[in-house]
Amino acid sequence: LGCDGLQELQLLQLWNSRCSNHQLFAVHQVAERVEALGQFVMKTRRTLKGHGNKVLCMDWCKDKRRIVSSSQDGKVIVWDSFTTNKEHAVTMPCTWVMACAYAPSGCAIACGGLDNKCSVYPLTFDKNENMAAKKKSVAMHTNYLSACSFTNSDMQILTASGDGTCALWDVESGQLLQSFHGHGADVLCLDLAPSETGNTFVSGGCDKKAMVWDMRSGQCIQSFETHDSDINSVRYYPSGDAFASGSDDATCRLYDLRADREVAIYSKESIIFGASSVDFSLSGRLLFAGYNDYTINVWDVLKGSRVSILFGHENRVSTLRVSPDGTAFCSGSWDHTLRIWA
Amino acid sequence: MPTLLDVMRNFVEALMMEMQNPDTGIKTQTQRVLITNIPHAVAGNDIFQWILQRLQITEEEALHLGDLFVKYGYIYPLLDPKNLTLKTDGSLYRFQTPYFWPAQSWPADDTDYAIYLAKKNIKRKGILEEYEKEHYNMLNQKINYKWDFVIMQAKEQYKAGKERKKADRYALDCQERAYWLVNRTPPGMLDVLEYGLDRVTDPNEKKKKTIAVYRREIMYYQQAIMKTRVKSSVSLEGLVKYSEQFLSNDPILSGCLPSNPWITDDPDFWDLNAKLVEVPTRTRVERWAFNFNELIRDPKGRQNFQLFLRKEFSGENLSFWEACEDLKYGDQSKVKEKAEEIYKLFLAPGARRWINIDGTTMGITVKGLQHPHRYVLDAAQTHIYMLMKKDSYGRYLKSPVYKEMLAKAVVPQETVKKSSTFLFGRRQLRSSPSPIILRQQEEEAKAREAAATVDITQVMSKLDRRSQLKKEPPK
Repeated sequence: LGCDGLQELQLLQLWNSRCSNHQLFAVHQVAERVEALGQFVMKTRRTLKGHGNKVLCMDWCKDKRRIVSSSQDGKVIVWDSFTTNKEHAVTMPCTWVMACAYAPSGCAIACGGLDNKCSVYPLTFDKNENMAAKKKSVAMHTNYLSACSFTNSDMQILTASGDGTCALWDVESGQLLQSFHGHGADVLCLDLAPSETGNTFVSGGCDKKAMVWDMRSGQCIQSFETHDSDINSVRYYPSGDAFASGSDDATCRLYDLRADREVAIYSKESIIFGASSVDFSLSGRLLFAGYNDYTINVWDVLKGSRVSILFGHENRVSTLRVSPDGTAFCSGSWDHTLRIWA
Repeated sequence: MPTLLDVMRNFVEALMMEMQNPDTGIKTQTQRVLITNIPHAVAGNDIFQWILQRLQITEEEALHLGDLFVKYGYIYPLLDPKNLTLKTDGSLYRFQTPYFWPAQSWPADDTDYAIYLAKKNIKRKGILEEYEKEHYNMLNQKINYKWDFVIMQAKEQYKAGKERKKADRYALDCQERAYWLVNRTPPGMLDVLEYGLDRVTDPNEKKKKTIAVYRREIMYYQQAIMKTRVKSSVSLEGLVKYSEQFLSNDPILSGCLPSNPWITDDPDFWDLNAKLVEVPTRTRVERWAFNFNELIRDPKGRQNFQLFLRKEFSGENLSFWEACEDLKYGDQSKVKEKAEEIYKLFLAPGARRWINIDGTTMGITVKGLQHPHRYVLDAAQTHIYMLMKKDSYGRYLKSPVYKEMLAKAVVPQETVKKSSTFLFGRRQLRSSPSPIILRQQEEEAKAREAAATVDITQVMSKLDRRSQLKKEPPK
């Protein structure tokens, strides 16, 4: 890249940073008139025991009660978390299964980790059928799989990897439909935009960046770099106009996509361990965040204050998702258990 | 992935120093152990109270934080060394010397551990615990080439220790033991320093950027400049409004009727809100009026909207939109086939369910269909979506179709959790049919419907052909 090229880039960067000269607001300033939340209590309503090692990831089924969870020892379990019954179990040929996802139909799951792949397992009740036999190898990365998600159907999967890229795959053929390059280090998480806002998704990585991508073109359309360390988790606000992130720098942040900037930091002096996993309540008013100090902090998204702290896990909280109808959230931990809170 | 960022470590280390400040820190005591007096001991409860006051946090948090300080080895218990928890009673603790503080820069060394174990062995034969013996033997093999050095160092340290005052020697022994309990955790104890996997790429390493990276960056900034940004006050107002609108629907904040299944163990809420339930709940139907997306994303809402559209003779719009979704998210191998079917059914001149889109969009779409791909119908889909959203949706909400649904909608009675008598354990929890079974049933139902339905146009064209044949003179 010649001297001219570098100059052009610098000029563009400068111009871009000057582009928004409006008065900058944080969300809590705009939300001053909003009523404060009353006291509210959340408790563990179910404890799912059955994994023999650290729980690394979980996802909800659209039926609002079933979940899939994956662990360091390679086990992937499908539970009816309402009854706490285990319905299916698969042992992966690798350890550290860091990613798992439930298909929209509820009839398949996807998972992967140190095998650098994402595989899809159709779920079956046939006792004679070995679930591993029907397994489909879909994604192939050159390093560990950190996250995966089905799009609007069972036919497509989006993946994130330690190799620094994300990719979109056709499940049936294993064909790579689109790849996404731009992160300068391992990509640790991703989240698909809610339907109306179109074909985009956000990813977070060890390069401290959160990037928003156009699924059609593979281009990065927005980028945010305000965290001081790895971004472990990203999740869209339910309207799709913003997203939250959780990082090893012990803060969670809110980024407004239309204003194109960070609009809130959720942090406290006494919170010194990284946030591993975040998700919004149905209305977007609450942000649940699981931390490496074994706790879950509940934040008032609009006011910026911490509403509640939940104790219970005996080791890092590694994964956290709110149920599809917002009645509860599930947390998974290195203490081998999952908990449903409501 | 680091355990504790440098900033955080600095914060904790500063707190440790504050705790030991003779004026503002924690009151110290002298503990008598056997025949030695150990100075600078502090009571667990005092540590707890100090943290509570200093950080202005809840008692639960202060206890948890203090507990973590002990687990990470900043503070160690005097009389129960393996129990790395903070007790809020008179149990005594001491501050770990900074030399032994957890540091990212130098992880606990194998050689140092070997020296420590060797030293322990010299002090009293047979004192090593099982797991320590295992480590010792393993290290003997692993760093065998250094073993003379290890033993020599161990002997030197042991000799030097003997020359110290008894109290100092005891203190150092405690410090070392505490350090190794954290850095070489005994089996069964929580290993707090475990951090998971290493990153593949070190983000701090300055990598030379390739031309491709620069090109991407230039492209990114070129389009970023073009982007219209909304004033943050305006877009934030949007976020606030959204949360306010959905507050009543947020079960965690506002509850739900009849009850939250997780709290009362009663899954009625799910049954009443099944995908295509006969009579939906009032909350659900009201939600369809929040915005068009809420209506179209709910299968029941879509069903009701389709009913309305048929009355306005624009039912093909929704069907077209659904077909486009199926194309976009479906099997890659069926893209060409599906695109052709959609063209025939919705876009071709004289198509059976012709959709009304403007000339330009139609032109782009037809051209694109020559080389179909997943997104080939995007322009047309967006046009139809906007049409439904800006035009039909408003009328729908005022229509008898919607109003009837709203009137019919059920408002479940609130059920309160019955006082649980745990005599026979938890109430029998109702299981639900697996999605696998449900899908099977759905497919069987569809097949039956398809067999029963007669396509009227096919019948008409058949009759047409028959009458045509009649007209022809027999050959």
